Amino acid sequence: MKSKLFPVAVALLLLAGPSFADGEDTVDAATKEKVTALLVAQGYDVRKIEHEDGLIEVYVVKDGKMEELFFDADLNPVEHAG
Amino acid sequence: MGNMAGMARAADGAVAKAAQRTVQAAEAVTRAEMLAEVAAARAEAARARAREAALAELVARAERARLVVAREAAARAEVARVAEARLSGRDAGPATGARGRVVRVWDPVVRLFHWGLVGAFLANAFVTEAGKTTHVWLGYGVAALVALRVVWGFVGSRHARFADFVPTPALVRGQIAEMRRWVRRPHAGHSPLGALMIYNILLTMAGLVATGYALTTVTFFGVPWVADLHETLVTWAEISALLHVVAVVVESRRLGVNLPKSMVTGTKRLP
Repeated sequence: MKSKLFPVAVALLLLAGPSFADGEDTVDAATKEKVTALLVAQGYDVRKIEHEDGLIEVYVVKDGKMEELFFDADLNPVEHAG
Repeated sequence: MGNMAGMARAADGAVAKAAQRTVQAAEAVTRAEMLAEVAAARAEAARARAREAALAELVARAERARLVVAREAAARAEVARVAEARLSGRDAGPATGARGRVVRVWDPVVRLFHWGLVGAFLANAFVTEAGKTTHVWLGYGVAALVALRVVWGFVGSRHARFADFVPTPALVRGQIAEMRRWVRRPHAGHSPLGALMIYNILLTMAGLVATGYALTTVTFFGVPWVADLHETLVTWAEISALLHVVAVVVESRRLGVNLPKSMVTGTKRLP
């Protein structure tokens, strides 16, 4: 019984892995679009957008420089040591 | 007269043909007999092999029984020695060799790798923040540990070498059978299933280091699939570590050898 359940459990955990390891719910598409448009206009390459510590965290690259930018719900830039 | 000669030739021909058929028939009989003999010999060989296997199993069982008897005798002798010492008011002193011999198995590099990896992995999985300096430096530490262990797998002490723990399917099946029957037969070095776990952990850590490093480069910084792969590998490593701990506890009980302690002291007490 254990031998049958184990692979199933592993498969479930692996599938669930990235989602619960992230721990953050994803940002909705409309917000993502707005943030992306805002930053692309400023010359950023937007890599990833997610929630962190109640803020919107954006992984960006500009002129070979990697940065994480933070915004509040109204898309105002926030200083955050994240 | 010519006719007579012709008839004689015909008769001769018939005789010769008959003789040839007789020879052919005799040959056929011989072939059949030979085939029958070969078949009989094959059957006999198969029976002999079966008898040999049964005998080997008997010998193995006798050997196990002998070990059990020897251990029991040793235990009784030890009890008697302690009891006698107590009766005569002496200190029994430390246990004698009755409880097995102590063998050096894990050299310092193997132990440094094991506990260093435990510390670095737990810290990065549960304490440090992804992408921060500490996390990245611990990642480099893991890379160094894995590299050291791989080199050590070729030049290290006897039980540290990869050649000492090759988990062939036959060895793995053997260990599983021993676990099912709860046979006490400890390995000095890594067991076959233990070896599988080591290779799994080494590969998983290599994957974590590779994806983790990639995420620090401009090319892969913040790229979702790389981050997801990194996190999936973390989950896999956590499952592996849990399974490893459970297996070590179960195997310590089956084998009567304190395996966690041996990874600290570097020695095993084998029966």
